[in-house]
Amino acid sequence: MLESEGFREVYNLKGGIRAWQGHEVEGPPGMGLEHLEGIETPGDIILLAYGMEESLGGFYKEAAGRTRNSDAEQLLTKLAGVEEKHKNQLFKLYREVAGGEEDRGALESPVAGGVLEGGLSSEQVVQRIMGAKSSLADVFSIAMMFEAQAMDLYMRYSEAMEQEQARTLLHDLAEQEKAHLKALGIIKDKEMV
Amino acid sequence: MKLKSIFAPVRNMTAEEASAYMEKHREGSYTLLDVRQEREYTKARIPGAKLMPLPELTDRLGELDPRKPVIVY
Repeated sequence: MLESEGFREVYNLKGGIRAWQGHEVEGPPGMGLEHLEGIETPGDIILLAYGMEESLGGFYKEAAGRTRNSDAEQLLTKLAGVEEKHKNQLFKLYREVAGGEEDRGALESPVAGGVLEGGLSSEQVVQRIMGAKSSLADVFSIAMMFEAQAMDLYMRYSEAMEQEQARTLLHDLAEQEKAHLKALGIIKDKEMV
Repeated sequence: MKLKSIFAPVRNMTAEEASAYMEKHREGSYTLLDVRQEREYTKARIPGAKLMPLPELTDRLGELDPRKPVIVY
């Protein structure tokens, strides 16, 4: 039926989601999309992403302070540092896209407070938050959950965008989160042996 | 409604193959389509999947880019 419409390459995931061994995320289709209000330009998107990276970095920092597991503390501190790098990348991108001589303060001030990567509310985060006794494995699962939720959120944002440039930017951000997930998997394999 | 009656031809992809495919290909270069019901999508989905429940599929096909490969579950 759809051959005439050009759908030539369609794959059926054998066994459906039950067969899926990779990361999973949860939450309704509209979760986190409330932050899209007034977001139109690529500059706005960068601002939003900046806020999410900042919140996640803050979470990692706070969690590092709560844990009594020194390995977990090290990992969380490292992850907080990674988020800081993302912020620097986003700031650079913002200057390129916005074209002006905007200073960092322009990005720091309007960011959505309390919004973590992935659009999870603070309450949802607290429900899943690690305690002082969380093991390194727990920390990895939490970090991976955030990164997977963030990737999913950026993809849902991209669906909501009309401008091709905005969609491409969001795909790039999703791609980066996918890379973080992979990197976390590699660190986990090294640390958990 | 059967998937195969909407999309033709449909090839099978194992979870392992799908995972390798997604790792290799950039986001936005393919569509990951979740055709289950919303409550199932909400409970657990593959990150980045687009929700389009099977009963809505024929009406909403215009939202998909036919040039991009589609992985459906």
